[in-house]
Amino acid sequence: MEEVKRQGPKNFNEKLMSMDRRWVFLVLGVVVIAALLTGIKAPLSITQEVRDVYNFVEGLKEGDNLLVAIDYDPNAKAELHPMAYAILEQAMAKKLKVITLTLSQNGAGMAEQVVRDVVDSVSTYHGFSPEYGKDYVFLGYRPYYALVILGMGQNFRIPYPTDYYTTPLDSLPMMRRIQNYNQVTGVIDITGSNVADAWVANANGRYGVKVALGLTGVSAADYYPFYQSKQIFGLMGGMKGAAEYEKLTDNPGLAMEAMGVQTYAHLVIIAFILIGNIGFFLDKRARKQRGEAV
Amino acid sequence: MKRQFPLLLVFLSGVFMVIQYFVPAGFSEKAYEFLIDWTIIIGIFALALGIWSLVRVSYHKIKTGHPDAKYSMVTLAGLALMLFFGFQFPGYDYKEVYRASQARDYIATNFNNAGAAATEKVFLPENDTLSIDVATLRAELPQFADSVEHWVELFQTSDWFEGADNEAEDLAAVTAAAEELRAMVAQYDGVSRADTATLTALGAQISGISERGAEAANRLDGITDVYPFTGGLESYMFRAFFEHIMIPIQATMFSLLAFYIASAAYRAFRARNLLSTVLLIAAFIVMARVLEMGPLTDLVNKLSAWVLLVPNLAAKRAIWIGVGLGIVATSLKVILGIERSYLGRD
Repeated sequence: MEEVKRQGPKNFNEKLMSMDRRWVFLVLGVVVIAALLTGIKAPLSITQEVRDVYNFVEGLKEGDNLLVAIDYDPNAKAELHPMAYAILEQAMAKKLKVITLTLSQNGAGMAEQVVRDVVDSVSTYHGFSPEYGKDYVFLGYRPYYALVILGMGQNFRIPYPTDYYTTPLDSLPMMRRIQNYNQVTGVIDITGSNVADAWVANANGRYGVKVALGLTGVSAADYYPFYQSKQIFGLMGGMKGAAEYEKLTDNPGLAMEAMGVQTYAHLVIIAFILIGNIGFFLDKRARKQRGEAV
Repeated sequence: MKRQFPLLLVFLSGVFMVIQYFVPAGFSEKAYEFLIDWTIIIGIFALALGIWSLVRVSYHKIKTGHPDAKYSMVTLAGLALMLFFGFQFPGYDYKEVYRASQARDYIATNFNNAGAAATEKVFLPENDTLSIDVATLRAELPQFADSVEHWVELFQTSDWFEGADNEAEDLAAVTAAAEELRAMVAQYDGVSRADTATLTALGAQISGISERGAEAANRLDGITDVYPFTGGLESYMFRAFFEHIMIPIQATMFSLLAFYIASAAYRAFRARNLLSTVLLIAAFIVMARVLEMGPLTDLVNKLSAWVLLVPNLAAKRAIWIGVGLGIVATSLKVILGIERSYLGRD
């Protein structure tokens, strides 16, 4: 009987420290749903690494070639989709020549949808209808990302003899002028995986093309060394990075809406960490008072 | 010989690739390009091997009545169905059909956007970034109409359209709606933002026109009605499987992370000693950068940037250098034949 009592939470302090995880899930779920329903917004400050990406695209001239790699699976859609929308819309509205592709196995259908939506949005809101093959192309998916990135450094036609719709690259007017990275002013890779490493190491390292990254929140911290060493010229991290970009482009979308939800989710996590620590210190004090080892 | 030959091959390939990297001559680049093609070919075999392995393991589980056999059945069914739906049958111009269905979607979207702009956006609060004024709306309506006409033209010029029946009537309805939309611009002359009664009435009129236009556009048939089950990447079923099964499943799996991270943070972040306290404080600072903290916001942002760019960066750089040296060491061991585990045990 005594043994059983020791196993379970004995007092208030221990209850605070070892709350059933289902309570954490429940509270977080309720807060996220409530924040979604109420549409609470969060204030946003712009970080330099995101501003660098924006300034780069904004600084390009009409007709410059920009490569946007939509290298993520549906699992990272919530964080990375808004980035892809905001960047592509900015680029197409500026009448840049945009090459899009995906090196993510499950990304082709989703990436194509993004491109379609953005073209539609630009046609509707910017008084300019980007034409396929002339103003933008979608090359689709090819496996073995490192090889594809290296191959494009030689010639886009090595990994992509045809585009997503099986049109030979030389039949697309804008691609006739593009052989390899030498004709591309910059690459923006939006990814939740280590495809980013290959872009940095191969596209930037080997061929010297300027690279920026849009990453999921969990992986963003890993790439700050590349930003500081100027191997990448900018970095957008997670939902916040996407929301900052939407704010910079004055194109409010899902990320700015979701920032409110994320803010409250963070508050819940902080509250639970505090509760755990309060329990920990109360328990430590109680043990000290009882003369037990702490 | 069975072991020596692969070792020799690895040694020669490895040494060649190392030297090639530092030789910027044309022949070196050509050789590199040639070898990259080899890698792709090897990769294709690996893919075939992977599919064969998946089928074999799943089949074995089903045959032996393994408790997880039901999952294997779903796996095999998914593999077979996606192969079938994604197959492109020869003799059919998928690109044209795709363009036709794309044009149809865009026509409907433009009408929907016009309706939404006229009925909703003008009434949003002044400080809302999405709000637009009457002048903007006046400028946008002809753009919607232009865009509709652009897509109608593309739709009509697609090869697929020529063979379709009963489309002319719907296309005429679409064009008429676009013209009506364009004509509505004049109705906004002299109407101010404050004149909400007139704006509401005009918004309702545009909404009606847009609804008619979108309905007519949606009646235009696309590939889904011609070949519902097959048609390569544009197959209705292929896309439906991807969009309605694959995307939600993956998004759900990733979203669950938020809950696990919350639970793990609650359990792990305890100020037990100096190092764990430092970790706890760093986590607070980085998490707090998305919060509005009043006068402290700027300080928190600066602190957060410092945490990411100084201690985080130092640690990451050390890890990266360590990983890089590890890769060099392992590669050298493989090239020199010291590391032979890739050869298997035979």
